[in-house]
Amino acid sequence: MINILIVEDEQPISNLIRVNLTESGYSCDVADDGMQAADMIEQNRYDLILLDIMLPKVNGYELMEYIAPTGTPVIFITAKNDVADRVKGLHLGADDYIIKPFEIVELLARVEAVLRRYNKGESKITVGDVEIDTQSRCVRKNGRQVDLTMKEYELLLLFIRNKNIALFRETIFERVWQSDYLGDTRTVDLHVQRLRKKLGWEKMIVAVYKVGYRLEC
Amino acid sequence: MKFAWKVFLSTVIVIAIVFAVGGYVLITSFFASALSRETDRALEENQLMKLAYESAATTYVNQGTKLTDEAVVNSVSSLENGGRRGIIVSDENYKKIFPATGATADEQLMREMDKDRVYRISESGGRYNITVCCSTSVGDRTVYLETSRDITSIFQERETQFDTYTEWSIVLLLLSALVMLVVSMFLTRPLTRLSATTRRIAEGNYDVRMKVKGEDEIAEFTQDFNAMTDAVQDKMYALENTARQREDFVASFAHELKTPLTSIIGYADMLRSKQMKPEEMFLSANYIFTEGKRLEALSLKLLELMVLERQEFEKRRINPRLLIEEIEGLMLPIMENAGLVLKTAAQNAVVMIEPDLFKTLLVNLIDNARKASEPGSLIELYGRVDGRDYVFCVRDHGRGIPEEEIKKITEAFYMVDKSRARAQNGAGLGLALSDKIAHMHGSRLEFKSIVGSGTLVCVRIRRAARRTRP
Repeated sequence: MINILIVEDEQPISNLIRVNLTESGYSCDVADDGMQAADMIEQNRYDLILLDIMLPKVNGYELMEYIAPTGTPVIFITAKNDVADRVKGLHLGADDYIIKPFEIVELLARVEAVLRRYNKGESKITVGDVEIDTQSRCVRKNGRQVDLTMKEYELLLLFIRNKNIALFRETIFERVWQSDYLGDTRTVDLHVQRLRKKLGWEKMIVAVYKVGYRLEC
Repeated sequence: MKFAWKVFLSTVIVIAIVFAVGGYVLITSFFASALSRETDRALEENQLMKLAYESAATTYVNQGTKLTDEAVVNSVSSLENGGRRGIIVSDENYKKIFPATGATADEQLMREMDKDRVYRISESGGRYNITVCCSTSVGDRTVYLETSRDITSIFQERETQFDTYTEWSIVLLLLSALVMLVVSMFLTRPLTRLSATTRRIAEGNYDVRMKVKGEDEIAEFTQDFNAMTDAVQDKMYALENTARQREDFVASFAHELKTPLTSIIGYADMLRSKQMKPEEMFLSANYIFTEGKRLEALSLKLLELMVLERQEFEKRRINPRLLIEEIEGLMLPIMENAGLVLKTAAQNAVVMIEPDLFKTLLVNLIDNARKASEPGSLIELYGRVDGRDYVFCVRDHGRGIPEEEIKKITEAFYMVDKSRARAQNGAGLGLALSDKIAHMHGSRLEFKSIVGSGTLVCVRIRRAARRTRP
């Protein structure tokens, strides 16, 4: 189980992050201010810390200096989106940053990415009868290898990392194709069709009316 | 050209001119007096010769001898003293009688004779002579008696003096130039230092100051310069401070805006993309609602603040007692709801205020008092005349404000107890707004607070002058 510490003084936001990370299978603790966070870091071992900058008592930058020697990966959550602030955070040893307001998909993707970088993410993911090895990028169904294109593989990972979350077509496009969505739904639909067919997931990847798709399992 | 050089050169030039003119005048006047002395002597000598000749000639006449050329020569030759006096005697036709050889008489001088004696200074071959001529009549004979005197020495002396003077004045000039060089460098050194200081300040060392020495104009200037630097530094710090405050405002604003937005967007995102249990849906929707409310409160307060900065507002004469009574009517139900006791007291007076803005100010203060108080405690609003002023005060018996926070509480978005302020939907703008309104009335908020026992906030404004009735 991966332990994540959320340091955020705004209760609605910390709750939002906690609920979503928990649903994605992480174990979460929440600290309301810098002092409490420092205490918790001292007592427990965390795989990742999500750190707000504007905190009461001890602010995020100061806390960062405390965390850095422990080598725990950190993602800043900040309302300041000017370059100087981001650079300052990264200089202090943060691995990534998320700018408020953020979408849940983005939060999960960044958490996932940082964990993967630290080899903390699971390298073998099993969903139903499909097994994915993220290190060799190998996908097997019932032990038999399934050949997927690059985009299909990315699409599969996106679905698996956002289980039971309806993914909007534009979100899928932006995440997988890494470019702005210009209203072309055909590309997304086509790739989803092919993925369904290759994995035999016609019933698991559900079309959500007027929205997009959702992986149900 | 450097100022030191200007001072140096102009002084040296002046000294040179003074030396030259002074020396010339001095030497010339020496010379003139020597010349006039020599002239007097020559005239005297001539007179003497004339008398001597006359007495000798008269002897001849008395002896009954005719005064021939020979007699004249005899009379004169004894006076000649070996030719040193340069006596020349001519007859009435300007024909030379004596000496037989040698110098010729100055005929011109004899012709010019209109008085009994004339003289001329002449130069020949580097020698200067003064020639004096007079006419004398003894018996029936008139002769012209000419004497001359060598005055080369005084001319030579003048030349020598000029030479010596020139040499000395060159030496003195060089010496004084040297002194002036040092002096001008010394005098302009403060300026050099001043310019060095200015350069350092220009490079960004704003703490640099000049040392003030003595009491001359430069010292005064240095003092003024330091005063100017102080003023500039103060101004700069003030500007920096304003810039910092503005930056803080923008940063706080971004934070205050994005915090509720994050919740709203996040929970809305969850609602639209997840299948959730009813109670989760309710919780999410509730978060969206409360955070939306918070955003609303923030935007309204912010709008008020913005409007306040632009608005032209009109002050009116008003009795503050009526204002306080109106606020009491407005706030009583709210205070009762919160389980608080509101007491008001007001003296009659006339003040010039914008009633709506002032109402906002006082309501904000009472609202803050409410937030700081526990149920059952007392909140007082009172107005009283104090000399030429009228003072509005709001007193509570709540938690109080720590002393070090008091300076910051009127800054926008500043919250002493953030989590508590959040819970009460505070945006951290109420006091910023109230302080702005107080400023518009030429006043400011004055806080007195003791942690744990309460806070007193006062606004002091000048009372309006009594209206003169027609």
